[in-house]
Amino acid sequence: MVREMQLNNTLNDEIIDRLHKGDREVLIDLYKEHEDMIKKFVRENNGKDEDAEDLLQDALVVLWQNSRKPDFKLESKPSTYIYAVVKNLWLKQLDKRKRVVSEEYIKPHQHSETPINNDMDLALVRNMLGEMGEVCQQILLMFYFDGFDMKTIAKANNLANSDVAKSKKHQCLKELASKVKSKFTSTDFYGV
Amino acid sequence: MEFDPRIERYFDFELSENEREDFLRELELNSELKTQFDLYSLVIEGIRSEGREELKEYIKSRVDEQSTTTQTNLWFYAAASVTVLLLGYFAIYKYVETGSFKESADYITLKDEKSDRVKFWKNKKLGKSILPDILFGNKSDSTNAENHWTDSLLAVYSEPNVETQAEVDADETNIETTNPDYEVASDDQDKGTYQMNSRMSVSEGESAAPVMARPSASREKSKKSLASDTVELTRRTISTSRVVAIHLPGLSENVAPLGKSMPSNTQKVNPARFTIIQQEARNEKPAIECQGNNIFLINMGSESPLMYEIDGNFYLELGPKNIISIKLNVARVEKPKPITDKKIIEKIQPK
Repeated sequence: MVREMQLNNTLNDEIIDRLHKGDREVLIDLYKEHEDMIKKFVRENNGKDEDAEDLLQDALVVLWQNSRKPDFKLESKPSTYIYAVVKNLWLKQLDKRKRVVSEEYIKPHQHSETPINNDMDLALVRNMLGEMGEVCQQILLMFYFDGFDMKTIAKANNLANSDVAKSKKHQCLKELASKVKSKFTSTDFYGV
Repeated sequence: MEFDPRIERYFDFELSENEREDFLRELELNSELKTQFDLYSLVIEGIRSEGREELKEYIKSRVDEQSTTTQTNLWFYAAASVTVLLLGYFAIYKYVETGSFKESADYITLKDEKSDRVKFWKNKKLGKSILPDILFGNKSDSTNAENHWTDSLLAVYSEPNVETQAEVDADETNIETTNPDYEVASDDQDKGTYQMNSRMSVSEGESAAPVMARPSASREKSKKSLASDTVELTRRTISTSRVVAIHLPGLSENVAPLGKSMPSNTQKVNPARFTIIQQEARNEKPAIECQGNNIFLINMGSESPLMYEIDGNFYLELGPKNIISIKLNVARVEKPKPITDKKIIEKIQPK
């Protein structure tokens, strides 16, 4: 029992280490390792293999992003963690599907009061991001999505140091915000 | 309104607890700040959305790629297994047939009497499995002959001395036992035949039994077929004690031995025997070394060298316009140069 725990810890440390280093291949290894398990779970819960594949990808993205948070610890086995995330995501999706069906029949045009960035807006931002220079794209993605620190970002983008990287990131973010703002009417965003 | 740097610091988790509280409080009261905040919120969420999609796409493509590779590998292993099984089958077949695993190379020598050219042709198209029948007519006949197909070296036979005998006992067994390097051919005099020598062991004392062969029934047709098969085959008037067919592509006739009757004027051929051995040796210059009947090609890389005898001289064809003269009385020739004699080149590689 103790030996099994030690083995798990070693395995987890290795996975976390690879995640911290930004080794994306660890996600592929985890995907292959858990594919059957997740497909079985989803099939048993009214889903298809395609749903399972999508969920597993989502779960791994969550793991990737969370792994760089300072307080992240993989205390359970990776399979337990992934299973928990997938289960959570799948239940949310099922719930969402139910709500969509009921809303369509009961309140087809109800608006949420909470300002949520809708898919159209996000797609626009992504388009604008795609129009930016390669370095800007890399810096913004590495910082806001991957969660890398400025030192790593500086190194990866051949920038002198983390201060230069931070300054560059600020410029890029401001540029992207301006681009996005220009696509909206003056009443949507102003003052930027 | 000027850009408020606190917005970026807020999203970058750089505000202290107090700063954060003040900022959120102000956000509720200041609509312009709230608008800026919403814009940055959207932009950063958009960046994260792009990152998620890109990473999902990466995972999907890598997994697909690996499953494709696995499938390809499965096909590869399946094909490899079949190949191994087939090779195993043929190895066993050969063992059963001949008791030797060494048989691997088939070479045919074709000689033109008029030009006295002998071309040694590595037989790629004729499989070993059919050669014995082709060369020796049938299996019972090929028993002795098959024993000579026992190594992978290219053995070259030439026939510099042709003797004529009025009558020779042409019993096949006799010929092979009494004079292994001896060949008797019989055929209708003045009618062209094709001579085909086949290969043998190079081990000392082992016999070589070149076999005369020719397409008999439709000679002209056969000649065309052979010629079109890039084999330089020219006619020769010889006699042979046995007539077997050469089964080359396009040649349908398979002529069984015609028996042991000998025509009156049988030619006796006493072939000199050479073995061409290709060697790759580090730190050695290209060279040709003749040791008795063994010709060593050292670092002279050629896929299947062909040997010719023209007017008593020997030539090795290593490639286009790469013909080397072989001096049998010279032990070693370093950096052998291709011959420039146009007549010889023209003979060996006609335009």
